[in-house]
Amino acid sequence: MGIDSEFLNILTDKAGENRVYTGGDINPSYGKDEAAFAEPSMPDAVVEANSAGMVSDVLKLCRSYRVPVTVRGAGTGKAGGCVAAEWGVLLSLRDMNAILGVDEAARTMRVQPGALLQDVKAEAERHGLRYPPDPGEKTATIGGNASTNASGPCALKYGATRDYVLDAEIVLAGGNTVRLSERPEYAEVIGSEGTLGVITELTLRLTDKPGCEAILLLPFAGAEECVSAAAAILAAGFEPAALEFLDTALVEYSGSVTGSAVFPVSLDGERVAATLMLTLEGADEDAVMEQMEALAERAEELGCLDILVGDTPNMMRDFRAAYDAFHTSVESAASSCEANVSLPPEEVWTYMEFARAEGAKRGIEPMFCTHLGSGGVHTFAVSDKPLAEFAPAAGEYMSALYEKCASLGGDPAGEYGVGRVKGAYLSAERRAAHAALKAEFDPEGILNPGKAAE
Amino acid sequence: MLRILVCVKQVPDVDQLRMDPETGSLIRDGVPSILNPQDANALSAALSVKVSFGGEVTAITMGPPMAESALRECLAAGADRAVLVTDRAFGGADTLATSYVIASAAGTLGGFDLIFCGKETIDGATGQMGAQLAERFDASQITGALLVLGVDEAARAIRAERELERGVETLEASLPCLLTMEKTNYPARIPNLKGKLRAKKAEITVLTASDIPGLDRDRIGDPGSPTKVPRMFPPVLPEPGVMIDEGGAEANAARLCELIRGV
Repeated sequence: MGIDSEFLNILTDKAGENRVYTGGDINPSYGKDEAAFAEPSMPDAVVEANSAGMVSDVLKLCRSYRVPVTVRGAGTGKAGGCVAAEWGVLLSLRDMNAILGVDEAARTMRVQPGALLQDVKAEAERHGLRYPPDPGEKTATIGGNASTNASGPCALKYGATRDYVLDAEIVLAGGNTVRLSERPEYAEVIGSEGTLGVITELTLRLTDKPGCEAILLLPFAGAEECVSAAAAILAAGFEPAALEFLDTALVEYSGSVTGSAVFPVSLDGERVAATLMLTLEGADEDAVMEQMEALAERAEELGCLDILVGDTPNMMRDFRAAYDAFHTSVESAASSCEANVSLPPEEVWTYMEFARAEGAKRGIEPMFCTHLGSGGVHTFAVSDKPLAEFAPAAGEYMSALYEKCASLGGDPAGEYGVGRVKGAYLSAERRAAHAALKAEFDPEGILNPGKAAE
Repeated sequence: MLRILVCVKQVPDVDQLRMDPETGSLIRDGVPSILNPQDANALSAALSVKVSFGGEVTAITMGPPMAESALRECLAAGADRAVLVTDRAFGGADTLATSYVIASAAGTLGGFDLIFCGKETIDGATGQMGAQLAERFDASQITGALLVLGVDEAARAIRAERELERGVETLEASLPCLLTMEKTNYPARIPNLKGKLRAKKAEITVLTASDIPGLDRDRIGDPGSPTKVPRMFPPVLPEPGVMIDEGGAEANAARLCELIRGV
């Protein structure tokens, strides 16, 4: 399969010569994203769109010629979702990156899909507001976040990207432009990884910033105690914005890369196995202090070694920077992999034990960062070996983890989407539901084929 | 018992500070105040010395009444006591006047064996306070200290490593000694909740100009400060760099060569 010269001529005519690339002119980066071990897959043509009109023209043309279209943002995904599966047109939206405006009274922001998450968050802060979703990769595009319904640590209290999409401009497979608010089923486009429509504009919901916040660190001598403590904290009625399991092995590894571990590795001579990181919010300092004191009363029952407090801007910034450095530190290794899944929270420990045991069989020592409230587990592994040597064992390892996740009733898609990596691990029900949607939205199957639950 | 003084300053969180491009004045509205990060490293070093060699750690600052919160941070992290030197008459002080006031105030607290300072503050960034204070305390000084190796109270000596451009040197100095600290080995202490609660209730010694006997009024505040700031302006930033991402090392190198050649 491939595109012919007639198609290419029309495409170039519609999009403009300086926005269409073919063959050797295509930037090789377009052949991959950040999925571990994936072979590059080059499209026949790349269109770097700069308007919804251009997106519409491209989709119309592609449907009439039955040419597959893969939508792409910053290419920071980890599941191959934005990489052309076999052939066709890759539609890059990264030039559509304008922040169109913030309505402070209505607490909304209009934004093009190529705007980066970090810019969206910063713009909200500039207006004294907050865009709460916090996927780890801040250089991802907001369109990518919406397409994968990305989430992060504070999903526990604030939910995922979908919960912040009030409206969207969507170009459907045939090139028609619609608003998400027009019909309830258009909401399915959010989280569909570009398989049902192309998002060309988003209206996001913003929130007020909490009056006061603090990050608490509860170090534990045992990792299992740390996991149990999180459940006990939630059962006791605390409502942290985030509740994170930080594996000391990951803290140490990241510290060795960045030069500072920041989080505790030992306390009064005792080795810390894991740290529970809680973000508490309240209307004012007293409200946060009240929660801290209530937590202190339970310290003995929880079994933590201490309760450390970061409630100053620089301390919280240090914590967040050290947390965000986990991903980048792992990626700086000679070889690395990451399996991200979502589990029922009560199955997290079983899964982590399995991951350790499976790793031991393959000479892999996993390191974990886990959203304990919502059950999102990031399992990292690094190696000094070249990628070609590390990949076979690590690939098998990741497959074993996805299978285990599915068997525990979890969602292997996790926070990064299904892409072309995880489709095999999804349930038959989920595939059937997706097939029904696909038949309705894109019966010709031109939108991102082979992705999500296909 | 070693008597250890840590000099700290409350500074605006410069990450959140903006400058009015028209007037050149700093926009401080809504900008939180924080403990100068390098002072937190100095405090951490002082607390490590206390753990290893014994002693009592006093944190001192000169500033407006709101600077008390920086001292409570120090107490929460483990300082034994805190002293706030505050008076309208101290306003507008440069480093010369500030070091005079701090040294005079510390004089009312008895002598100190060790004085720790951050290398510089993130607002003024003069890096002058440490050296000026060492002079006023008539103390030996170790600047850019990396690591305190040992303190011998009986022999009145301290050994510490300091970083030079071409390596690390070990110095021995007599007490009293003032050290300005590099952050490398002394990350800011994360206070625990008990410390936080203790600090919330702790009493902070407040010294005003009239509490410091013999203070020369001509040497404090704006009148006592020879440094004058005639104008403030935002720096002219160079053009932002260009990210080269041609998809591979060879293509990136080729693009770089093109840029160098001015293609």
